[in-house]
Amino acid sequence: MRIQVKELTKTFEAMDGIVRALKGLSFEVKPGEFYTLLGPSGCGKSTTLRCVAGLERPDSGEISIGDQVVASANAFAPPNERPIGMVFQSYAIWPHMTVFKNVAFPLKQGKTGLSKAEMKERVMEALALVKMDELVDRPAPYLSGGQQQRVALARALVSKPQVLLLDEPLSNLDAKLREELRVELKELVQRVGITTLYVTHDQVEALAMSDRIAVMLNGGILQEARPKELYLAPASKFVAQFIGQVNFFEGRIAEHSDEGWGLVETSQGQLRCPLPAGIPKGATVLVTVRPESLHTSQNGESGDGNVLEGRVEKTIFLGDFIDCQVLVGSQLVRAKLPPTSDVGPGERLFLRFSPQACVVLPIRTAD
Amino acid sequence: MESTAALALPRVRAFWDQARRNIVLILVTVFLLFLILVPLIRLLFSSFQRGHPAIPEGWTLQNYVAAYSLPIFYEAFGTTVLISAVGTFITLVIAVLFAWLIERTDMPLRNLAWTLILIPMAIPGVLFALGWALLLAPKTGVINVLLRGALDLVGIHLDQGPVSIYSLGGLIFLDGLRGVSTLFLMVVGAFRMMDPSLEEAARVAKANARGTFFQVTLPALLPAILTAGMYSFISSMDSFEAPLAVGLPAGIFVLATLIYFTARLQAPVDYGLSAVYGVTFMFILIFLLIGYRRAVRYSERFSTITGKGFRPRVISVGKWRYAALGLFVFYFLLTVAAPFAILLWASLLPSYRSPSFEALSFVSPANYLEAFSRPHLLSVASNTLILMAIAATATTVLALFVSWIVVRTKLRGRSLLDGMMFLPHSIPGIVIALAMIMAYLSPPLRYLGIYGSLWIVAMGLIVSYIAFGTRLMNSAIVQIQKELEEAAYVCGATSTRTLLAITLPLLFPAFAAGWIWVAVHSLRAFSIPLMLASKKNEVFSVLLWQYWSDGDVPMAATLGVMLVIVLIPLTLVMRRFIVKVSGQQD
Repeated sequence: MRIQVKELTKTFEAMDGIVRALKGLSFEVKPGEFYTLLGPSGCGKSTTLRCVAGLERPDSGEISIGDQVVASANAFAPPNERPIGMVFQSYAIWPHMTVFKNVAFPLKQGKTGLSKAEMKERVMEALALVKMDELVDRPAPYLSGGQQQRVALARALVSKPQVLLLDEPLSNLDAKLREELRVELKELVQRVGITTLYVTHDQVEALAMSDRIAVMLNGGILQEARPKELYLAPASKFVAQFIGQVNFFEGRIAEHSDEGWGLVETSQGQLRCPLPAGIPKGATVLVTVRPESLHTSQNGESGDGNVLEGRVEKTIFLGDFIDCQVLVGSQLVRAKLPPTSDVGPGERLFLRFSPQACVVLPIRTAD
Repeated sequence: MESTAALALPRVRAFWDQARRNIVLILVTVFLLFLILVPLIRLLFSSFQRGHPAIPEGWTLQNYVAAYSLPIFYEAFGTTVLISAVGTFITLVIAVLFAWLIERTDMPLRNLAWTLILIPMAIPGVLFALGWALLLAPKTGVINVLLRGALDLVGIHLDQGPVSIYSLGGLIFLDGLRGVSTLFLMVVGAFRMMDPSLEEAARVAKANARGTFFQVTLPALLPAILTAGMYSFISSMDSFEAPLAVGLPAGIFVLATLIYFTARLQAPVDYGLSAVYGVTFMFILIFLLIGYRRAVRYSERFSTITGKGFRPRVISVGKWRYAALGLFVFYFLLTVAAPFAILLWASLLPSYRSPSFEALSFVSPANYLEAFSRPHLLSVASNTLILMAIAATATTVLALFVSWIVVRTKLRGRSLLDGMMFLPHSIPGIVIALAMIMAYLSPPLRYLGIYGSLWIVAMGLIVSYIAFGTRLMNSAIVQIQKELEEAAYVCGATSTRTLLAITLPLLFPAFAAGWIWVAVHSLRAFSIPLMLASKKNEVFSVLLWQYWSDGDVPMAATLGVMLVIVLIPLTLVMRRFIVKVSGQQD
């Protein structure tokens, strides 16, 4: 089922005045889609999710789930009247109940018309889905973090909701478990085919799981795109920085060809880049290059690529790659080199990267 | 930043939205405010009215003029302050000494002492005073008899004395011993939770043990000790039972007994005057309590108490450890063993006489058997239990509702509500009871017909315990993660259902702790039931006092012993519950 959010605004009263948490936010999640709100803390992503859940009432704007308008200027459905399931950051597993009772709880609300046997069947089905059917009678306090997470998921899915809301469900787990559950969660949601709205501050999580990502900052959406597009073609400096690591070179457009290619004059030298339409010659721009697009080179011949010359400042061996910091002119440039490369501090080297690896951002909208 | 006008509309809507969803809670709150504020306002009115509160004869300032020109008012005020100040000093010294000995030194039997030091809390103040009245009455007091015997040997012959409990010194003595347990609990936490590295740093900086104690430990704990002292001073000001039992017979008034005397004992009673005393007393204490709260906040700012449960280094005091134990035993003798023993002795005799070998032949459990055969006593016992159940249940349920509003909703005025619930904490029980009398004796509330019933006593107790109840519930609700409730909403539960299925079960430990606390305090409550007493609503402690006033010492002692035997285990259980739930002090 579709989730539609239109012109959502929400303000909070804080100690030092009014905080505008959401400033006219709009987006749409298509049926069956895995949609992620990604952003740093305080960007309004959790507030958005809580508005969709009905835990917060927006000041203005409209939210609809399927054909039902759940929040608007003159209507507001409380959470219990929305077709949703939700997993909280802390999981919120009720400590005074067993696993079974936790999961059965949503089935006992309102008139579901389920018999005891049917209820049990539904609970066991949900628990089997998350592979927790063997711990059905365990009291909640005896569950590990990962197990709690699974129970929370089963509880969110047991009533067969139309929409699943996930509020940083993996952030309380340790790194290894997080990676495992990331894959599992994605597969599970796909199998169930449920429309999912996911909130996280972790870009790796967002890239790995989402069909589409909306990057949020200061109560608004900066960019909405598929993961690959978001990574390869960030629309702004913030997005580029927030999704992975990036090198920036500031410069001026020196040449502009009709085929969409151009030369940018930077203090590190001339860089050949693809240019978006509509940027005039002479405009100041930012050239962004990901560290993994940089390769070491023995000579300074540029060929049809770009080359920077610099001195190695620092290398950090991280196992799957070497984080190499190179001083080019007055700017520190980061490169991800293969673990086998043999460079050391003080060494002079050339860094080569292809023009296709560059993304040019107009500087006016870059910040 | 936005202009507020643009945001006003959604906020008004949100307010009504919240209000509609919490209608039950709001009704309960209005009821509680009514319970607390209406009597107090009525009391204020009465202090400006001539005549009986039910049939006022017009407005006047005469009550104030009269009260403030009577020397007895200033005498009572002076006595109250004197007893409280000296008494608090004594309490403080004993409590800090024992906190240090029990928590930080190698005194023998420290764990046992930890439990024993709480037992005085189980002995109602009135019984403690009566026990000492039997020990130190000028003529018949056991200790006086013994002392006179000893003085006889050195050639000094006295008819009475040499000491009398019916004196200012006696009152100070009782007050000084009375509050040690509570104060001990308040300071022992500071001794325990003080970061040991503060002391270790002093030792490394070449201070010896003595220097460390006086230059580091004591100054670091001083804020905690002083605020505890202020608390003790305020409760001493409130104190009613000892001044009634041993002050009034000697003609020594404190403010609390002055109010009781003016409103219930003197003939004819003077409602206007007692209202003025009550209002004045209330404002003095509110003022003191505001000061206390400031002090607490101030001392918390440079607090050395980190909240981590350290086990600080135990200091060896060498052979002084036996002296320390001796001191503790002596303290226990004074506060528990001696008064209880003399009450037990008195309860076993047909008529009171000093302990002696001849008197031993009269000893029998006859009083206990008789107590249970008196129908009046059985009805009083059932009154007491009903009162306990009503007060405990109502206070905890009401506190739960109010705390839920204060902690969980965003309703306007919720912090005012919170403050309102704390207000009765600073009002002496005797003034609460006086305000109840004024309110429920005069129209329109008199038509409720609860004046003189058990209900009015229950209401008085609810008002005086609601502050503790809401403190306990506030901290318990804060500890319940908000997401646990939100998860229930999202699972389709309504807010009522969420309260029943999630919040209440999770709050059960706090609920039980609060219930037992109020139950124990209701059992030993004295000033409110006595002030509001009628033929119909007498409770155990009031009846006990009635017997004592009528000169039936054995029967009073019998009831007292029974009460203490019930209260000791209950008090210890209550402590355990309260500590478990909130780590809060009694």
